[in-house]
Amino acid sequence: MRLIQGLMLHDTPEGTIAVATGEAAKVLNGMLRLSDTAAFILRHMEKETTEDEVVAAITAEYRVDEARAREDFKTLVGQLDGAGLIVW
Amino acid sequence: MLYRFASMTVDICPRYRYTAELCEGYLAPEGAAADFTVRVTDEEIAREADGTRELPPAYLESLAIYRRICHEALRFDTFLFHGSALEMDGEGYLFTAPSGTGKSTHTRYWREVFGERVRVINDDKPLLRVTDGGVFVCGTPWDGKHRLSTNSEVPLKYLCLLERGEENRITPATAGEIYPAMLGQTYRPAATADMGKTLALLDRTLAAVKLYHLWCNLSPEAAKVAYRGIHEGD
Repeated sequence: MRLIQGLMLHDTPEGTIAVATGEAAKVLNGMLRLSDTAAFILRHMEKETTEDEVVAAITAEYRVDEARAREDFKTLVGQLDGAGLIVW
Repeated sequence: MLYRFASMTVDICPRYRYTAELCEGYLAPEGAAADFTVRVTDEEIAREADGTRELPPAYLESLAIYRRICHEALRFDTFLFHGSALEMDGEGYLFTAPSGTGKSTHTRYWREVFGERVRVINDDKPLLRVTDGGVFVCGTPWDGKHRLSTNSEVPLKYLCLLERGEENRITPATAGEIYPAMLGQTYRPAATADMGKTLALLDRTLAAVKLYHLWCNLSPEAAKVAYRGIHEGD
């Protein structure tokens, strides 16, 4: 899985945002504000990856057990998928 | 024919007379060399049609030409920002908001209240030129339905997000608070690399100017409240 083509992450002085360009602009008008954790996850999803790879990256970066990391990942991916921002 | 906008010299080759007439106040000085050339295709002109109303090809061509200029302008650290910009006492003010909020009405109040101290730089689609020495708001002839612009550029000092309100009120704002609105009023190119450049220029702009959130009703008093709020403590 990966983020839809054209969804770009941008660091502003007040946090990371996701902005749609090109194809992604057809499904997202405007921007998404991202928490630090969401930005971390989305950066891993800019290229093709798997749930296990991202969960491993989360547990390596944050003090969180695998079950909690997987739950957070699934929640975020569910929201992104619902908005049409994931390619499977 | 060579024209000059935001310190860029542009060779425009329109097929309709409309664009040449639109730009006649922006001719480049003699001997200037073109930074780039703009000649749009039939496809680019057709893409400007919004599908809801019949618009003359000459007008659509002018939109396509400006779109190309804005695309090229990124190489010159310059981008299009939707808003009504004015100059007063040598300082640039930019009022932005979604269409229909009353940007032009608000800057008209500034002209009514402050008279000849105020000059409209561009009433609709100014270019912002970002430099290490600050941001400059630049006049172009793509200047909205009231056709208000000046062939000049001034240091942009104040950027106000405008909203309708029962009462006139102004407060300082942070970039984070108004970022979604600012992004909404920024010309967003389709290519990801160009969008990245645009966002970098927007960030530099928001860091370089004073930001405000302005609520105003439809009365000239709004201009006085805005001016007082901006210059409080000067």
